[in-house]
Amino acid sequence: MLDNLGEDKSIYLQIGEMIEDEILRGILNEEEQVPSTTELSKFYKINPATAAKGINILVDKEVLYKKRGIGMFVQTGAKSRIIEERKKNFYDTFVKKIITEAKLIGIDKQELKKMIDDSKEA
Amino acid sequence: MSELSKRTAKYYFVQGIKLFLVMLLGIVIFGAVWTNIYLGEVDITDKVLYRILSFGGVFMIMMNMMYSMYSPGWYDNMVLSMGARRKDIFFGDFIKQITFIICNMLLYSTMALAVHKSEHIKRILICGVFALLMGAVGIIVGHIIKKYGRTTFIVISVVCSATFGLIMCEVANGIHLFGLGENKENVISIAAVLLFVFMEYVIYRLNRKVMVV
Amino acid sequence: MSILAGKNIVKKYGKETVLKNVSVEIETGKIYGLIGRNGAGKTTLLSILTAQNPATEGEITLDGKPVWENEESLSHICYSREISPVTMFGPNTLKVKEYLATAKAFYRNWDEAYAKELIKLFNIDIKKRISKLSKGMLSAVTIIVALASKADITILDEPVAGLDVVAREQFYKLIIEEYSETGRTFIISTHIIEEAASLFERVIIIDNGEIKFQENTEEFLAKAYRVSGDTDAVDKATEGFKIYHPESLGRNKVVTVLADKPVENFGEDVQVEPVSLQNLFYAMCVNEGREAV
Repeated sequence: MLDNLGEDKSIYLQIGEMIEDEILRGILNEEEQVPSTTELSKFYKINPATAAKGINILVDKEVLYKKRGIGMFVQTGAKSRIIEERKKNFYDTFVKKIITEAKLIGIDKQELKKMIDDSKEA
Repeated sequence: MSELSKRTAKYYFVQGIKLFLVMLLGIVIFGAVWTNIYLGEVDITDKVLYRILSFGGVFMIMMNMMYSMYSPGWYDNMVLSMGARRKDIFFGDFIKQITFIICNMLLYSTMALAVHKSEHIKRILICGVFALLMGAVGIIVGHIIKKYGRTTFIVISVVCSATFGLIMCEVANGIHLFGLGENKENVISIAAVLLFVFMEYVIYRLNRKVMVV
Repeated sequence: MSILAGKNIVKKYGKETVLKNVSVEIETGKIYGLIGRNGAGKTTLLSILTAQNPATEGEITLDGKPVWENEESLSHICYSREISPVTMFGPNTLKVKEYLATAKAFYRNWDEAYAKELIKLFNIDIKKRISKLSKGMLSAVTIIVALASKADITILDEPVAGLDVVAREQFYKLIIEEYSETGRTFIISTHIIEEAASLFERVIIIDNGEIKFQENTEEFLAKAYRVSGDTDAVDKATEGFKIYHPESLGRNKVVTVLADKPVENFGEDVQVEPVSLQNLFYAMCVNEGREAV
């Protein structure tokens, strides 16, 4: 788990994102239990209401569900739901930034494409 | 009586008892000293007890006055900061003093009876009344000087208690005071009680607007 | 849910007006942050809200009933102040255990077991006299009283002053734990803003005896931005907004903007970043900018 919250986004959104990241990376599997709001709030030193808000958003997105009396669990199919949503937002979240920066420093489309092609990471 | 009132009353009652225990310690120490002085004499118990009785009156008045000067700026302040009501604090100060005084009076009365000098009981009673009065004065003084800092406080508290303590005790002994004449203790005691009631009124007014420092 | 409300509070000391028509509402079940500079009136306000200081004007109610000298209201409140090692009589010779015993006598819901746990946690020698305690230990005692009081509305005045970073983190954890478990209301006044900012569901900003803002922290910060870029571009982009602390370095200008509601776009020519609570507060304090048009 990352334990650094940034200033750039509301905390509850960041909490949601971090949990989603873990689901994507297989650190949290489907039908596995997620840390409680108390545990989350203690770990990140945030207001428990904020942690709860982050969790509730994920429940609304059908990424998590509540087992009464026990806690929050990852829903089956959560991973694919997250991927779908992130794919939709990928352009706005990341690609736009790359294009803006590339424009700023004068890297053209060709060079950019070449960078991606040559990249060992991709 | 409300729950908070009860708790406040209990707290101050305990403070009164604690104060009495301090007095008791003093008595034990002085008692030991005097016992030592009169060692070997025939009616040593009588002599020692008589000594204690004589000084007891003064000390009761002095101690009550001195400690009551601490109340406004210290105990009352602390207790107020913990949610006590000013009304309950007002009664609390009274409870503390009366507890202290009554314990003392019971002790001395017992001693007086033990040495077959029950005529002292009246004097003890009068000292008790004066102690109560001086205690009230002490609280008023405490309210006034609580802003002035340590040195001023110590000076004033010691001077006040000593002066008043001695004066009052002498009056209780039936001695001339500014030519008031002997055997006027009764009148003076009643005047003391009335004065006390007035003081309490002043304290009540002072207390109403007090704030935590 | 109950509300501790202060309406139109004015406090004067002689000719000096320390609180100028302050109205504040505290909803139970939340963690509040009270932020202000030294001398802004934080302690005075808290003191008045808890009936420990009489207001010159105005009324304070809990659930509609006045707090002043009211046992029912007072029994829900704990205002744990900084303990001074020096009193006007000289060094404070009261022992910690006596202080705690007094707290136990007065706080209706005092939890002795919890208090003992905390004493151990903070490693306090309760036989020591208050005058002999270090600054950190004094803060710790304040915290112990606040937490063990188990009061519905618990107020802590500068609780972390004097605590080192390890102890401060410990404190935040304790508050979170206690709040999670009991849902008690906490009002924390502090100078050390950024560490505690994520704890505050609502924030109250007081300056010069007036309440400047009392809002949900997150919604408040969602309206704050740090706009930078070319001076002209910045001026154009921020026209009509309330700006604070404009700074210039050459042709680069940076301003802090506080809008009435979140802003979608300031335009292409400027860089926009969010602002932390501490930086926003700082900008407001150091303000030399103009108010909203």
